[in-house]
Amino acid sequence: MRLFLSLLLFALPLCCSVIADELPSEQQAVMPAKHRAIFERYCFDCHDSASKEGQLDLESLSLEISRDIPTAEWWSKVLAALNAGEMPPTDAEQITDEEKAALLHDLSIEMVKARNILSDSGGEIALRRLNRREYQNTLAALLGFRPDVSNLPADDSTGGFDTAGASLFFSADQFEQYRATATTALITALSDRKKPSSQIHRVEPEDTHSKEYFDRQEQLLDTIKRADAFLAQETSPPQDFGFRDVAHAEKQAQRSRVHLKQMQDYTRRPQAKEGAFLLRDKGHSRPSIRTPKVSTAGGRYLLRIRAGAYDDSPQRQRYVEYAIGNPKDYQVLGQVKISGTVSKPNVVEIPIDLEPGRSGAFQILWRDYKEQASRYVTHRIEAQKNGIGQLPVVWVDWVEVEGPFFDEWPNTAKMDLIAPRRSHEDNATYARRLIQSFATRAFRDQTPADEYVDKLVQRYLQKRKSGKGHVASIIDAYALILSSPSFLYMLEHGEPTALAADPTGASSDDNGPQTSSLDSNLSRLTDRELAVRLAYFLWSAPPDAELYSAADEGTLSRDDVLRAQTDRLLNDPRSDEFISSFTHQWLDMVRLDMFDFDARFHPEFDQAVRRSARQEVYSTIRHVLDQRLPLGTLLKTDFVMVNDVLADFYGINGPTDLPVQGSHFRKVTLPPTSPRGGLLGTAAIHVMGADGTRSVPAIRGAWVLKHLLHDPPPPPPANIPQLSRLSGKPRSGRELQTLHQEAPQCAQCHRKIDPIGFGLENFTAAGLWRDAETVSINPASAKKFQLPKSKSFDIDSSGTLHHGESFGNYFELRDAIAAHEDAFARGFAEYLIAYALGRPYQISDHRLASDVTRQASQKGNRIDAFVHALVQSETFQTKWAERPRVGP
Amino acid sequence: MKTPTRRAFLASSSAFIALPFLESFGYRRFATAAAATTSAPKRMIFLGMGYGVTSESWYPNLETPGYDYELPESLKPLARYKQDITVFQNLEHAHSRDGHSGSTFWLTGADRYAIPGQSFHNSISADQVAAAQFGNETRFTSLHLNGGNDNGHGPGSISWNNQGKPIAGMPHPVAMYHKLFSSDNMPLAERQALLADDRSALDTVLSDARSVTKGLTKTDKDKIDEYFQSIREIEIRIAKDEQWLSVPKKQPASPIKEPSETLEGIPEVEMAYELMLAAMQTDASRVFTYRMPGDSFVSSLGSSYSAHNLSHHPGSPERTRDSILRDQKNAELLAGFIRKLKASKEPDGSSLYDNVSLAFGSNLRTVHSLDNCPTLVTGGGAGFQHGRHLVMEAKTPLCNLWLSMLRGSGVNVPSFGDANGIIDELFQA
Repeated sequence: MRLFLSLLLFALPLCCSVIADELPSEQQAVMPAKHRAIFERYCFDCHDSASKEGQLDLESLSLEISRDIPTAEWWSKVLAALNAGEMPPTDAEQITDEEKAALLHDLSIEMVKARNILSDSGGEIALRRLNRREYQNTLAALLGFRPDVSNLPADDSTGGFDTAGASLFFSADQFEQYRATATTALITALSDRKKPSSQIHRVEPEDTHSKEYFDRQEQLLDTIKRADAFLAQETSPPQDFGFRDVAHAEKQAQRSRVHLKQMQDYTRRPQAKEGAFLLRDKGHSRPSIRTPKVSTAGGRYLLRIRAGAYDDSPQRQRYVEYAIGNPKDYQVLGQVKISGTVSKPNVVEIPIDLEPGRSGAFQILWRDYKEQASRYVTHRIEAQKNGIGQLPVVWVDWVEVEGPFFDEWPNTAKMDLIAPRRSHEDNATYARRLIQSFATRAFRDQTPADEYVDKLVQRYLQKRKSGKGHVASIIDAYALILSSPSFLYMLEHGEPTALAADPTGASSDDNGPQTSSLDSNLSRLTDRELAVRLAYFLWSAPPDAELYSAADEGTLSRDDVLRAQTDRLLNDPRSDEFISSFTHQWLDMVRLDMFDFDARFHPEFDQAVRRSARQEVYSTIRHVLDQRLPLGTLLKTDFVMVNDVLADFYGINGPTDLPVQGSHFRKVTLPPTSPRGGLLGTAAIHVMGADGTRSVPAIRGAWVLKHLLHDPPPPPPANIPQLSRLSGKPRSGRELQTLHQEAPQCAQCHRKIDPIGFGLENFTAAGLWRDAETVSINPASAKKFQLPKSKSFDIDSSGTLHHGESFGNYFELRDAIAAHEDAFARGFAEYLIAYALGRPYQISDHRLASDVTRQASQKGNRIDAFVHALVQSETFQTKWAERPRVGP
Repeated sequence: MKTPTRRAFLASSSAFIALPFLESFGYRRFATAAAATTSAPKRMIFLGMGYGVTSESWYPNLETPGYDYELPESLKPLARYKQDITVFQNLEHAHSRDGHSGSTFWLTGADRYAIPGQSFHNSISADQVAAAQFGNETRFTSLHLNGGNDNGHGPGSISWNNQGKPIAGMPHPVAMYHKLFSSDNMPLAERQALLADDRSALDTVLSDARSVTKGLTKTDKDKIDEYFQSIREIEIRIAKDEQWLSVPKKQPASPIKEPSETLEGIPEVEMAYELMLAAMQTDASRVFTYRMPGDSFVSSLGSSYSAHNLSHHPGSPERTRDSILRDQKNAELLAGFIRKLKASKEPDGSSLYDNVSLAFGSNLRTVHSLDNCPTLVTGGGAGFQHGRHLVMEAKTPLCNLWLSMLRGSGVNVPSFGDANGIIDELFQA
């Protein structure tokens, strides 16, 4: 049973695969009878009813795979044995490739279907724990700032969406982590610090940063001098000169001479004494210019940098990145392009908001590769050209930090968290009032049980008695509240009566699924529960006061009110959380960060591009939502959403052909010949379909099938060797990929997957356009710091979709895919349902998905129309329930 | 050679006579079977390396099973202990699917999709099965060190409790050092009060848990039940802490200096082995797991690739070279650990090595391959006959090895994971 279920449930997002509605074939996964002949001919010798070798009786095994779990388990074993080439045994007659491919094709598709049928829970939505994002946002709503939650488990690595209740587990360690995280956050929120005054600090980096280069030069000269002195004599031991032995001295001297050139090149520049260049040290390290430490009170800072870049330097290198933390461990907050020159520097000013509790200093760094290997190798390649290595590009005259500024003080919700004591209140009454009030808000407007409040008050009094102060004692109670089930779980009890009709009697003229009566095993959510579900769907945060009051007035479940509130939530910036979290998981964007890039082959690609590429996808979807554009815009359109980094990367200019300036994302209209526009034109999608060096057509093809064409291929069999094992002879990506199709068990899926990937071969691993593919020849014999010899292959991007449409190039492929907007919309609806309801999409959701897709298409497939249709559905507003056994 | 009797040992170590936990020195067995010599306690260590090995240089030649095999390039540094190790081929977990999870299911063999509608499921890990028996007698039921991020190890932990929930590891050797050896200056009464306060905290949240369960559906109640189980588990921890409260922490004979927090990579692993050794010498725990550092380990070797990119070494000479260096450094550190285990004597004259079972490996082989999991075992604790290259039948459950280790060490469980038996060869010369 286990073996079967593992195949059954492998890669759950794939369960969105079945499209057709309410067809009988939908409820059954059946092997076509035509394959029976293959079994008779090749398998019955051992696996007929008489022999039953290995207990397997193919003669009487039902062709209906989804009949029951034991049947499905047998078929899953058959699939595995055929995929692995274990059966038929080598000494028996072999199934022809053609028969095998056809058989495996049907079997793998029917297995996926059987898995969906047998794992359907009938639509039940399991109780959800707040995931880490939601926990952070919920604390932010209560405490007035976003606390650090990095000590909690991430909740996103267990597969599926991080909202899936059944997979959000709980452990003893987690309880302690919640309590500790909440305590730290509360200490910050309730801090009684004085408002820090704003100050201006200017850092002159010639005193600090440049000095390190001058000092290093002296050290290197000293090492060389000592080594030369030692090697020129034979009487004194190496230790007298600071070396272990001759080899050590020679190596140190040689290394020092190499680095010395770079230091001398730095120090000879007159600006080195008036400011500092941002330049790698020792070829690979990334020194930063740092400001004095910031206040841990948070607040707004203005970071000003007076800097310039050399005129002849590449655009990509004329940026600085700014970060918060310490020189070894920092978080990059963004990047800014330096428009001044070294002779005519100018000042850039960057406003930065810091959360309370944040510590460290601002770090100013040169925009550079994240991968140490890339920094080192490009340095060495430069050194071979100019004898020195990487030369400085950006010069910084000074860095100034002003702040912190506060719009309000305190800058946390301290005043709401500890209301002042009333004159007549004793400790117990006061504590009870605070605890009662905080717990009610933390529990999303549910009143805590008396016994629970009593216990918290007792604890508070106990702490006070033992000498603890008021704030410390209340923090203890609040931290427990933030670790209690009523806070951690989104509890839904539903309306007390089973068949609750719309209480206001209001009806809607919308032709959506109106519910006059409910299925007897469904109970309607209360308005407050509905408010919570809605807010966590669109904000990953609790309802705000306005949403609560709509719920309290009892009008939220009215279609028009619910529609207005949904619109309000979508228009609020807090819905960015929905855009980024849903999109990241929907499009499997975790892959974007998976591979290091090799700067020898992709010098244009670095962390700033990677960050911006992710943001481009989010910004595009935000734009499509805000402008009420059709979902199909994501398949093909005439604009991109870019910032300066990506515009430089793509080689795109803004209106009137001026460069795109600034790090914010804005819409830029594209010429009709541009390959950009829509998801297929984004760097992100192509980087995800690559391994950091080369593009991988199969991954790109499978991604398109799964996410754009709503036709996911079955999961690949396990333990496939990496293609690079075929290395030895340079081959084009297309040829390499075609080798996949040699074995019939691979061919059956790759015939469908690969052509799409071939159509995208004009994009490099980094997502840049190319007309030819450069492939290294025998990298094994190449020197590490040189570009290996290479061979060029013209890209052949023609192919045929399995639907039958053929395409001659990428543009025709994009058109062919864009013609399938309906399939794309259906897939989007299914993922949206899974995310919003907090459980994997199931066969029993087909009807809902059809309703949502139909209603959205009546509104031009606008993203908000999908959201409205889902929110207005009965499924979103009810809970699958047994009748409560207990009365009160 | 007659080893000193248990009684002599107890008598000589006067400090221990006051211990409330005489079981921890085999007292019960000693008391009931006075004539029998009590043997040193059995222990287990699991070292999970996350991203796998360099397949082409880590596995011995398949044509040379048995004693007469040549140590491959990656394992050369273990040459001195060739007679003390066993290298396996063809062990795997039938249910493994996660190409980036070297540790998550390594000690469990679970099927993450075993529960319909749930995208993640796990079951108890082998170390926790051992800890359930060995852990009662020591201050720490088991110790878990977590040397890196999830990268190459997979989600959760390497150790999973009997509910299949992850057990958090200590983030750095320095945390393990403090847990093991830092003395608590707080007066006993205060520490007792702290534990009582923890109990009252649990009691408080439980009262909320009880009140919310009313009216929930069966599925939802099952979900809340995870919360109840977690709180119960903490209660058990507190009870154990209370029992040990008045027992001072035992210091190793040759004291260890507090490790620096900046230890990363190779020195971090060395320190981890050092601390495990000291924990065994002081009998602070008998079960250890270690999620070994990945990126920082290869970086401290001087490699400029991430551990993930190293796992994609086929076809790249630079990555392959660094990957082999990583394997060799691991083998070298392990050889050092074996040497110290052998040199450290138990009161009965045996060595720590004689009583420990140590497994080193991963659920991942190379790249994302989950078959032929790299597996190396050493130590005499389970009564294994070492010195061989054991080429198992294809697809032999890795759980057969875990079951063999458990049974061989006296943990008489009927089965484990998807094991279909023990590996008989291990118990036969």
